Amino acid sequence: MTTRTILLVEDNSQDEILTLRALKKVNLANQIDVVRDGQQALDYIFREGEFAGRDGPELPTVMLLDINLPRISGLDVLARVRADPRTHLLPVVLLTSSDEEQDRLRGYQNGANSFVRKPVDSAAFFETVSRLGIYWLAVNRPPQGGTDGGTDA
Amino acid sequence: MESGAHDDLKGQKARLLRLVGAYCAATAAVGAAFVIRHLLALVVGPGLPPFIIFYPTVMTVALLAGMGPGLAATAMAALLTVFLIFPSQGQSAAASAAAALALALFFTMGVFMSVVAHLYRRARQNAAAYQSQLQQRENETRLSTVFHASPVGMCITSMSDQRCRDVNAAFLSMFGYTRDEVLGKTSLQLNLWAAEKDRDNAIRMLQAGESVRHFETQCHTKSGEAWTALIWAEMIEFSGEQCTWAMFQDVTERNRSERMIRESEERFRGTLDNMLEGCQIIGADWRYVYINDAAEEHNRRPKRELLGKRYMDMWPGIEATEVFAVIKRCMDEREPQSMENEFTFPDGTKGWFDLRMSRVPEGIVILSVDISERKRSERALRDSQLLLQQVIDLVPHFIFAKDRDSRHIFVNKACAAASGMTPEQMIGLNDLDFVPDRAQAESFMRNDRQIIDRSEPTSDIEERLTDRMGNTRILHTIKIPFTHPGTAERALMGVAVDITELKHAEEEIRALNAGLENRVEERTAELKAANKELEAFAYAVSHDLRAPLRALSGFSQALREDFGTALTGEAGTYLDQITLASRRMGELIEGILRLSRIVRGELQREHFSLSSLAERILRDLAKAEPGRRIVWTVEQGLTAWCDPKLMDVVLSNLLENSWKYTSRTAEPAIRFYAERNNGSESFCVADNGAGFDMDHAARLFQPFQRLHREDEFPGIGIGLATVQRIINRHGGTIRAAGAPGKGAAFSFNVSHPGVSEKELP
Repeated sequence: MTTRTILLVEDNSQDEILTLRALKKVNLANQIDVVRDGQQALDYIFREGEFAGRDGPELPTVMLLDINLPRISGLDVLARVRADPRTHLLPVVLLTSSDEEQDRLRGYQNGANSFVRKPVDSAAFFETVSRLGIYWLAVNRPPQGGTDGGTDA
Repeated sequence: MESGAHDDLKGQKARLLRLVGAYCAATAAVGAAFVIRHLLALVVGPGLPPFIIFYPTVMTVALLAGMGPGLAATAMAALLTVFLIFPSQGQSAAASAAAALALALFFTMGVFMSVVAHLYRRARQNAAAYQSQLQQRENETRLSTVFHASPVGMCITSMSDQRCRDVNAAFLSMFGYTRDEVLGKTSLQLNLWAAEKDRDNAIRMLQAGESVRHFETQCHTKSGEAWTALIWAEMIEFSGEQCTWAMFQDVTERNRSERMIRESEERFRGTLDNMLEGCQIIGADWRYVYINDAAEEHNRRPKRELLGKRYMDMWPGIEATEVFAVIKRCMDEREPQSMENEFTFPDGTKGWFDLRMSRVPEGIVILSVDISERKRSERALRDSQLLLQQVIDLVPHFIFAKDRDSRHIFVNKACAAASGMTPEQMIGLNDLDFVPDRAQAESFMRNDRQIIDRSEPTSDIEERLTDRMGNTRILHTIKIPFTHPGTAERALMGVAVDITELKHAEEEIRALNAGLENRVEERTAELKAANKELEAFAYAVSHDLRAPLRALSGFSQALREDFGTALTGEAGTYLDQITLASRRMGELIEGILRLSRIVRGELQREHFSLSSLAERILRDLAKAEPGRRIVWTVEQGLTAWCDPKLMDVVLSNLLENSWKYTSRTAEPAIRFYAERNNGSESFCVADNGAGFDMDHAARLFQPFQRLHREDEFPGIGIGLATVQRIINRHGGTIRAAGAPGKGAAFSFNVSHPGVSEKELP
C-alpha cells in the first residue's frame, strides 16, 4: 500500500484539530502532516529548512492550504508551488474561511485545483472536510503515481 | 324814302307857312301904318302927306320879309291911300295929278325898295354860302391831314363793292403794302383778315347802323405775318358814296406784353403757391395780403381766416415776442432779416421755423421752413451724443483712436487718467510723449501702424504698459483700423481692458487649483486607503470571526460525539444552544459581508429584463418549496438600466420576502409590475402576506431590524437594507407600503442612462 499523504497548512490550531478529526474519521490517509505557516509549507514541499531530509514520499497526495497564513500567505505559497517544475502539478486545495470573490479568483488564477470554504456550522464542516478527503484521496486520480491510486480505488 | 318825302312835305309846309306869315305881317304892318297915319292926321291935320308913313313901312317889310311882301305892302298902301285917304282929303286919284304923281312915285319907290331889298337878301345869302363853302373846304383839308398823318391805320372802303377807296400811311405800314397795291382792292383780295368771320360780323354791325368799337381780330401783313388789330369802324359818306371808315391799331405787342406780364404773374403766383417754403406777404398796414399753401400749413389755420386781417390781431400776444420784433424791424427798416424761431401756437403746441423776411412793394414777405423735425433730430443727436460721451467716459476701460502717426485723436477719461492726464491734454500726443518706456512706446506705434496699413483688426492682444511709477499694467486690447469720418484719413480705434487684476486672480486661481488638485489627490488617496481598510476589515471578518465560531460549533459536536454518554442532564441541550448560537453568528457575519460587498466594486449596468429575472426567481422558489401554492403574476417586458447581479440580489430579496411572509396567508398572491407616473417608471413587488405597520416603515431598511419575530418568519434582517443600498447605488429610491395582515408592496426605481450614479449609499 502506497502512502497517501495529506499536507495540511493551517495556522489555527482549533481548525487544525477539527480538520484532522474530520479527515481521520474517513480514514483514508496514511499520513497527515501539518505545518502552520507558509514558510513551513514551502520548506516541507521542497524539503528545505527544518524539513530538509524529511521522511516520507517526495510530495503529498494533496495539499490543503489555508489562504490566511503567517509569514507567507497561502496564495504566495501556491504561486511558488506552481512556479516550480517539480511541484507545478501538485494538487492544491484552498481550504479557507474566506468567501471573498477576489480570493477565489486569485486562488484559481494561481492554479488552485479547488477552492473550498470552511463552513461555520460544525455538521456542515465535518461533512465538507470528509468529502474533501474522500474525493482527493480516493476519487481523484493524481497526475503522478496513478497506478497506485488506481489499484486502491 | 318815306321819311325823306315826309321831310320835304314838312319843308314845303314850313315854307308856305313862312310865306303866309310874311304876307300877313306885311298886311298887318300896312294896317298898323294906316292906323298910325290916321292918328297922326288927327294931330297934324289934313296937311299930312298921304304916304309919309307908308314909305318906312314898305321898306321895312321889303327888307325883312322879302320882295313879294314888299310889293304886296306897296299895293295895299296904294289902295288904302287911293280909296281911303284921298277921299277923306277930298281928292280923287284921278282928279288930283299931284296925288297921282305921289301915288306913282310911292308905287315906284315901293317896287324899287322891294327889288333892292330882294337883291340885298340874295347877296347876303350868297355871301353866307361862300363862307360856308370856304369853311367846309378847310375842314376837309384838315380831316385829310389828320387822316393821312394819323398813327392809327385808316381805310375807307366802299360799302357797295367793298373796294378800298383810301388808306393812310399808318395802314400801309401796318399791312406792309404800298398805296397802289391797296387802292381799288377788296380786303379779301389782299387777305387782310385772318378770320373772315370777324370781317363779316363787323360789316353786319355797320349795316345795322351800329358802330364797331374795340373789335379785336387777327390780321395778316402782306408777307403773311399775323398781328392783332383793334378796330373801330363807322359808316361815312365819302365822295358821295356810302363807305366804311375803319381804324386799325396794332395791339400785338401790347397783347404780348400783357400776356407775358400775366404769364409771369401766374408763374410767380404758381411758384409761390406751390413752394415748399411757406410764403406770406404782409402789407404795410400789417394786413395779410398773400399766404401760400405751405404757410397755411405752418400757420395751422386756414388762409381765409387770416387774409385781410391784421397780423397782430390774428396772433394775440405776438407783439411781445422776439419774432415780432424781427418782423417789425424788417417792416420799418426795410432790411432783410432771418431767424430760427420756436413758435408757440395758440393751443400751446410748438414748432420750429426758419424764417426769412424781406421787403416787397406791398410790405414784407416772410418765407418759412418748418424745421421742427430737424430740430428734433438735432436735439436727439445731441442727446445721444451726450449720452454716448457719458457712457464712454464712464467705461473704466481705455477707449482711444489714433492717427497713422500714433497721435491720439480721441481718448476717454479712463484712458487719459491712466497717464495722469485729461482727455483734452492727451489729444494730439503720441505714445512717445507719455509712455515712459521708449521701447514700449515704439513697439506700440509700430504695431498700430501695421494694423492701419494692413487694414487688419486685431483682438486678443496683451500689452504691457509701464507707467511713471513703474507699475506695469496688463492690457487686453482690441484694435480696429477705420477711416476717420472727419478727415477721411486712415486711423485706428482701440479698446483696452486693464486685466492686471484679472491676471493676478488667474494666477491665484491656478495656484488654488493646483492646491485643490493636490487635496483631491490626498482625499482620494485617503478614501482609497479607507476602502482598502474596509476591505481588509471585511477580509478579516470573513476569516477571523468565522474560525472561532467554527471552533465553538465543531468542538461542541466533537464533545457530543466523543463523550455523548458521559453527558448528563441539560448538557446536551446546552451544546445544541452553542451550536445554534454559532450558526446564527455565522449568518450575521455572512450578512455583514454581503452588505459590505455591495458598496464596493463597480456597477456594471446594462438594459436588463426585470420580468425575466423575476420569473426565474419565482420559479426557483416554487421549485424549492413545491408544497406552496402561490398565485404569482409578472408583468412582461419590464427592463431597467442596472447591474444584473445586484438587481438579482434586489429581486431575490423582495420576492423571497413575499414568499416567506405569505406562508400564513390563505390564498397567497405575489405580483411584480410597473407603476408609471409622470413619465417615470417604478417597479413593484406586492404580496397579500403578513404586511407591516407603516409606523415602523422607516426601520424596515435598517440592517438587523426586524418587524417580525424570528420564530414567526426566520431571517436576520439584512435583506431590505441590502436592497436599499443597491437601489441607492443605482440612483433610485425604494418605498414600502403595507398594513398588518394586508400585505406589503415595495416599489423602487433606478436612474436612466446619463444620470450620474451615487457612488456611495
